[in-house]
Amino acid sequence: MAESAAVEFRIDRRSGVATYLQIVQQTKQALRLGVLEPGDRLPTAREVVEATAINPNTVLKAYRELEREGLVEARRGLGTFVRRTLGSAAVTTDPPLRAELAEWTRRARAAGLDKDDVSALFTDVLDSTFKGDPHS
Amino acid sequence: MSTLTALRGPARVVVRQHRWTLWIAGGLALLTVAGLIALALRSAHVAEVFAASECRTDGADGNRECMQVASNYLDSMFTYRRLFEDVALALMALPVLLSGFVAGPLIARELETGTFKLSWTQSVSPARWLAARLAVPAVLLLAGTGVVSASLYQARSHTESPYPSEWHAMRVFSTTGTVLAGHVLFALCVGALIGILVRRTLLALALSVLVTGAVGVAFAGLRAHLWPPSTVSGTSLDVRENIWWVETGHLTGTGERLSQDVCADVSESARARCFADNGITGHYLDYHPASHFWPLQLVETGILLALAAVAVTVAFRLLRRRTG
Amino acid sequence: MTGAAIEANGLGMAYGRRRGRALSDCSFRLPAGRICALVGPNGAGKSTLLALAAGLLRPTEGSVRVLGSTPAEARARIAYVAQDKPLYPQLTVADTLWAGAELNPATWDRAAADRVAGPLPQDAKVRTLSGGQRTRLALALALGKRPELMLLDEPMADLDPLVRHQLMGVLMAEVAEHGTTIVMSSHILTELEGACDYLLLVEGGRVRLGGESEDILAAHAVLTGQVRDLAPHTVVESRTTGRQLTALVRKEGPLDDTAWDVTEPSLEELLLAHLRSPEAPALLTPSARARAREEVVAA
Repeated sequence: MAESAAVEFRIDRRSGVATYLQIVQQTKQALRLGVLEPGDRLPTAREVVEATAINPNTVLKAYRELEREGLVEARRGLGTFVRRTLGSAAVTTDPPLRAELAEWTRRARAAGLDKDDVSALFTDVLDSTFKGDPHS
Repeated sequence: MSTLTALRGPARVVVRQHRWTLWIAGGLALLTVAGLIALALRSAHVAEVFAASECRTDGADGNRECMQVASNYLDSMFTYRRLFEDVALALMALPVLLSGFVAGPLIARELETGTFKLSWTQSVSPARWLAARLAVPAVLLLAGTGVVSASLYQARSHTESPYPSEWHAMRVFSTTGTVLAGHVLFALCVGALIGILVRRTLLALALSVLVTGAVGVAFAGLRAHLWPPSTVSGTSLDVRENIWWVETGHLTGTGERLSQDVCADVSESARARCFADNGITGHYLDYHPASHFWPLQLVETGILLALAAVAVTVAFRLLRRRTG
Repeated sequence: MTGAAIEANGLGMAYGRRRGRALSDCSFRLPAGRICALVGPNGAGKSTLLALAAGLLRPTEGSVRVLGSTPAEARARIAYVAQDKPLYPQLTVADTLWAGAELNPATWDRAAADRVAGPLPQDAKVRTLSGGQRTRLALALALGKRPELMLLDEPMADLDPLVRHQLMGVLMAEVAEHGTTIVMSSHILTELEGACDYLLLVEGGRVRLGGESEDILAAHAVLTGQVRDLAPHTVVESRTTGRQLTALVRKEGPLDDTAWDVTEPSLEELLLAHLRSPEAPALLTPSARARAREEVVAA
């Protein structure tokens, strides 16, 4: 009946990231990169758990979260479908932000930071900036 | 009816689990029946030929050639009779083997190897599991022994033999009428009980064979006392044919019974004096006439069925208490 | 409140004087629709608990109710796979599946059984199968029965990682589609992490932890910092190295995260800490607490 789902989730048990968050993040990533487009069907809970051997409630929890954020909608008996894309325009086509970040990264490198240092610093700032937001 | 439907699944599984045993048992039963038919035809033929020869077994014809013919005829008929008795013996042993099979491979092995954990967690209760394990062999064995014992009876009575089978001979009595069915059902239920109690295949098998065998022997010894015998008494006993002697002895003037052994060692001449000393005025004989065949059969069968019922009730209770 | 898949009240099982008690005063509740990891060291009573719930044993004390009735009454709605994967050795694979259909005529789902048993050689006698193949066949029988509750005793022990992952996926798909409740015992936790959302830690015949994995994890914290008093929190396990203290505590109020570096423990850390500290008190989340016996009778 329905054509096969547009994405497949990879669950990394050792990552320390909660399983449902991995699904949420991978879905958002796919939305950002344009892999998922409005109208696409997400795999059913059954399809996901059969492939990943995770708890079905985890999948449902992730989908509820995505639904709450307005990214997907559940249609009874049909499945869960993508409603809108996720700021892919901002990520790929906002030159000013990107340019600023590139400039900052160059300065950091000039100051003697290596790639890991930059990454750690960036993550730290990211964490403190978005602290208190859901699922940061 | 609903019980029957509910037993269909587990019963079919039992049949498939033990189909080789069933094939072999069925094959043996068929061979036996075929053999009995062949034997009956053969003995009828031999008897006919002998009758046509105008020879007699008592030598009254005075013909020398007839001596050999008669001797051959008697030899053949004796052999046939012995073969019938062998079949009868095998039939008598069947309940013993059956109880071993039920107790060991059918029940205790499931408990020993743990497959009961599979059997009892399907949609079939342990009680149904046991019921199927009783019903399948019961139906097959009753049908099988019924056919074989009927064939045996027919084959034995097909021909007038110089070695007739007397109704009360152990091998005849045990394999005609209803007692065989009684022993089969008893063996089955005792086997089930022992299998559930013992839970070790070989031990259960051995124990069950022992118990059923002992009960069989006990009945062979005691069965004459299961129905009050008829009695004749007098100074000389008129002994009829075709009766089952149970006990004979002396009677005193007061009607007291004395053992046959009294005055048994005394010489013929002193016997009258010995009788007088002991006050013996006559003799008695307890016996079963042929008319006692059915009462004796039914009482023995009844006792066996009652014992079987007790055994099977205990078996089901134990199973229920163990599994909740 | 959803119905209980299993509810045990003061459950005890003694196998006779010599072999001692396998379970004693065991009370808990498993809500329906959960995938429950039943963990604990060898000999903790896991197998006994599953056999009691499957109606294979009668408890010597207390009671266990399954899907709202006695285990015997619920027999047709439960599937049970014993640790040694008992199967009729003289039957073939095909015969075994046929027997499953014969013995569960009302619920048998051939497609579900075939999904798992498909790769097995259909004409092979069961006695010639490998351990992994036996597990596959036993699980096929259990799934073919289409139960409401599956009790699986060390189901994955004989399987290689690939097959383990695949069969776990099949089980999870069953749950996703039919809302089946599953209880899986194991002494290897990693086998179950990710799949299970409910936890029962059994040790010494008693339940020491019971409830939603998330809630149980959230109720605990790993604290690292300078040695000082941990009150009012309940210490499950603590370790001092020089001036540094690392403790796994059960939270009894807000944590002072200026004094401590606070992290959430992993499930494995939490279980090991409890197994190493037998004196730590039991914790049952509200959903895992058995109702008082009178309430059960009245209900």
